[in-house]
Amino acid sequence: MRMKYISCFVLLYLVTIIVQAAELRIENGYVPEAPPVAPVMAGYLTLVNTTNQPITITASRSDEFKRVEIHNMMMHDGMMHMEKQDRLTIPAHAKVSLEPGGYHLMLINPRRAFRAGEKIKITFVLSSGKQQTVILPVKKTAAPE
Amino acid sequence: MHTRKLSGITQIRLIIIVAVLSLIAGFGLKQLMRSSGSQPAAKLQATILEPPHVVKDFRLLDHDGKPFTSASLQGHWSFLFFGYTNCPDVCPTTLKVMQAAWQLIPHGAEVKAAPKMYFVSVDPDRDSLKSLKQYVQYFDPTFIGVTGPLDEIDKLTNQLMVLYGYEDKEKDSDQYVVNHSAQLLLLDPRGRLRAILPPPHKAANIAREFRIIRRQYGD
Repeated sequence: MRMKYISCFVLLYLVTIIVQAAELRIENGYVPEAPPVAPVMAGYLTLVNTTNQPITITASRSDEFKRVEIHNMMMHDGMMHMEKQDRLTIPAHAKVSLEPGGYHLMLINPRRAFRAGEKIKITFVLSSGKQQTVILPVKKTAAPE
Repeated sequence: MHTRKLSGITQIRLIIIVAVLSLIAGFGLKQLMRSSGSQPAAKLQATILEPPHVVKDFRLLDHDGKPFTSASLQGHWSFLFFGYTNCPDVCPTTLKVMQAAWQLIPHGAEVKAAPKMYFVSVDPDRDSLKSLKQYVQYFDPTFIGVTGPLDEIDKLTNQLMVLYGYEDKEKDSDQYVVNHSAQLLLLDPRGRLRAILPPPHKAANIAREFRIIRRQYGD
């Protein structure tokens, strides 16, 4: 009987770990290859919140860049404006897409030039205190159709 | 039977008359449009300037350090886009679109009416001519980077109705954002602003509209 309780707890604990690990799923992530002299690169991905609670990203970083920020792009007064987002919240059971012309990762001052085929590791710090690392492939992208 | 045959001939006559009349009307309409100088019949996303706007009196440098002035815009069509190399999203995307449009437009040394593609940096503090050259030539070896002192950039942007501005720019800081217009400017071979193409930009559309505008307003 006692053994059964313990197994139950262990099972519950394992389930919790699995759920935690998958709380923020990413889809379609990539970094467009940029000119080797480019002082910034963009990162695009869809963040999927699979939990019942909103998830907030409070910071982003990568060993490959001096700084990583989340920016939003918008048009007003006839100009394209970029606005740094200090926090990005993905509502429960929802997704937020970082894509050309909208939200994007701003990868500032690469430590070296990246070519298509390489991979870039980026870590998100969540408001829960947890961290989540994602790996984005560098791709040569075509002009939007 | 006999009556039917007659009416058949009458119908054919009618059709011929109508066809001839429409041809005359169509021709007349075309002439009328041409003489009144109205926009081409095809629906364009671009705004056509009629009359075109003469661009003059600015002194910038191309990425090889050669003067870039109104004289540089003579003798060929020119597409101009204004941005900066610290721009992660809009500028590289637009340069890729410009490159794809360039591929769709017949070009090469023998093509007299081929346009030139310019990327004008409005961020001369961070964009040196050397890095600007490497930046634009990544997208296409024929593309030309241009920049220069801010007051000379302003002389050009003011005439082309292009807006830009710095945000959070402090002295000696290299971390600031540049807001800028995202339209493409099309200048005719006499260096006059002929059309403004609004974003979002699509290569096939740019190539199509360029051909229509060039046909309408001459090489």
